[in-house]
Amino acid sequence: MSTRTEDLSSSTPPSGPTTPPSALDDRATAGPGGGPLAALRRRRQAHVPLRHRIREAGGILRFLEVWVSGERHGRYGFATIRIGLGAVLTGYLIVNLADAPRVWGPGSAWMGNLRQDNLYGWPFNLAQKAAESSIGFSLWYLATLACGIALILGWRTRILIPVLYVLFTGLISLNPVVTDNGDLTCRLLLLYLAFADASGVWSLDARRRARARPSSNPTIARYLKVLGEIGTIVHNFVLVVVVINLCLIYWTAGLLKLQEPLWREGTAVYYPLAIRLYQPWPALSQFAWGTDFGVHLVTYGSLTIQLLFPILILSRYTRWLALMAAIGLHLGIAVLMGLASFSGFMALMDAILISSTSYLWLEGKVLVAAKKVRAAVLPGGPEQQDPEQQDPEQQGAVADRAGPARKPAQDKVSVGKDGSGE
Amino acid sequence: MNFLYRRIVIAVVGVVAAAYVFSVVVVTGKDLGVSDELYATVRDDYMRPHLMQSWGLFAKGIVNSDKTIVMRAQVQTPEGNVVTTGWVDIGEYEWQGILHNPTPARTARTTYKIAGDMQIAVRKVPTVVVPAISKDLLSDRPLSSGDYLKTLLDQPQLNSTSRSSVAAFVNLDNVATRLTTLYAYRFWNQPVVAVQWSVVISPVPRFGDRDTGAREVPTTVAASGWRKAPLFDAATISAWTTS
Repeated sequence: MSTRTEDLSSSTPPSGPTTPPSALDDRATAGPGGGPLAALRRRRQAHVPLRHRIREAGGILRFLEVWVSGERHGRYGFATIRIGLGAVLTGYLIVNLADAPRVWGPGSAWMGNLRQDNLYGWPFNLAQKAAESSIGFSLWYLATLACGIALILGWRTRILIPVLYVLFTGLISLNPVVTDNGDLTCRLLLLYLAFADASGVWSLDARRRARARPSSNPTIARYLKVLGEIGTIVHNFVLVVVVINLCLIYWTAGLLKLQEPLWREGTAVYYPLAIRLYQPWPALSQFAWGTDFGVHLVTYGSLTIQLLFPILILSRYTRWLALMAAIGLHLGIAVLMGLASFSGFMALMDAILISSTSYLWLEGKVLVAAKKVRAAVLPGGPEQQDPEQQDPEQQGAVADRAGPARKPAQDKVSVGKDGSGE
Repeated sequence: MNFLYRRIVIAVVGVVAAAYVFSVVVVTGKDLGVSDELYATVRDDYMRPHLMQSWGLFAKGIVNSDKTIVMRAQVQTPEGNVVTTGWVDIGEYEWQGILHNPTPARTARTTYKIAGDMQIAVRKVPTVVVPAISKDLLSDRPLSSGDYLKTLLDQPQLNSTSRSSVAAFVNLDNVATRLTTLYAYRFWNQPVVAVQWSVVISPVPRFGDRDTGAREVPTTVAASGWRKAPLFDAATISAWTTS
């Protein structure tokens, strides 16, 4: 076997014609002529169908190899999960602050054997020691809260995420009675984020890395480069695993529901909504189950979306339908059943399916809106010009000024047809 | 990275990812045709506890009942008298914390879950054990309900399955007694001498009866006798009386 060496970062396959910048590498789009929005516009115009890209790469295996090892995909999706996870987790801990001693702290001693049954070993069981005293428990709880905030900011995530995983898992292991699938999803997402590039964009880490000077020692530089390439491969596989896991969640939940007569009759949604402890707004719940048609529609609609989810996400058009339906489902559960943290954690996983193109579009809108607000608050400044009047290139430049962390050139933003979230 | 090394890394990471995905398929497909043996192997050897997943929520055995624990207590007044309180529906109390609250605390559905577990556990225990639940256990010596029920495990008519069912119920019986004792501290803020609890299941109206609100008669699936209140340290009691 030959051991030829090549540089995949150039995105030019050894065989076949030169790949257009839009297909395999958007580094070329970060030229001096425009910001991310302009780059996106060019990318959309130059969109290359998947089958062409496979042919240009020199076959499906070669295409997959380049896809897996060439660049880190879905970094905006992972960044959204990271920020959302930190926000939901922080909110969850704040909401439970007053009750925390009873839920997990010294007041949870009523669980007795139920707690001892938990399977987590060291270092997770340190939480049990900490929970024996008010001070120890408070420190554990506040440390978890602080890590949740740091996760939003994307500060030292390589170390932070494993630490947060230990703190959060230790915390919820203290009370297996009140834990739910939201906690499970949070733990899973933390595990996935630990292996992915969760702070590639929209983070303090990204800003720090952009400012850092490359190592002058060639050995260290080469070592870091190899580590980065391995990290890219792992990151992309994690992306694939997250998408598959998401599909499995919806699909198995749908299949299990299909086995239940109440789901097949189209009335299943009514029953949880009629339970007192899942009725934070009784009038709203009664309104929700008020008509037969509404109950049947939501029941069969939920079932259909869950069963078809893996298929719907394959096309960029139906993917939006699936995402909107799934997010609507979680929103309904959050509001009608008072399961906000559960729904929040679950909905976050869906964020990986939104393309970087959409995230960048949203970022551009947010930055333009922020500029409007700044102009309104600080009249007379150079930013007084109406952002809507600017041409998109200038808007892109606005986005670029958000900081050096915004590096669209290192993220893929256009593919959308490979079924992997991009 | 060298061309060959890169492919090796891709292969290794790919195999690990594929093995993980296979394991997820197995543990999430327990009720979808995956064999019990394969499921148990993958769950116990590879997935538990960190990677374990289950997504049957609102699917298998969809929840269709209000489940609650009602309780009363014997508390000691400042004058030293022991008085018996009235019955309190803990589920109703927890619901007050949920009502019009978009983000209820995690304690809000504790009783619902314990009552649900108790309902399942009671179904599995042999009928010979059930009367023992309602006996008063107020001996001065530290005899818990669990200790009492454990003595039943030695009965010859219990087979191994029955024994494990009784053991599971004993565990929940202890939990219910401890939980209601702490709720007694919370409700009456007096030293608690004894508690008594019942698990009540009340099915919601059927879909066709939802407008009339016609419900089936609530069922008491387990009713304890008086249980001597377990001892808790000051930090535990403080967490329940002050938070």
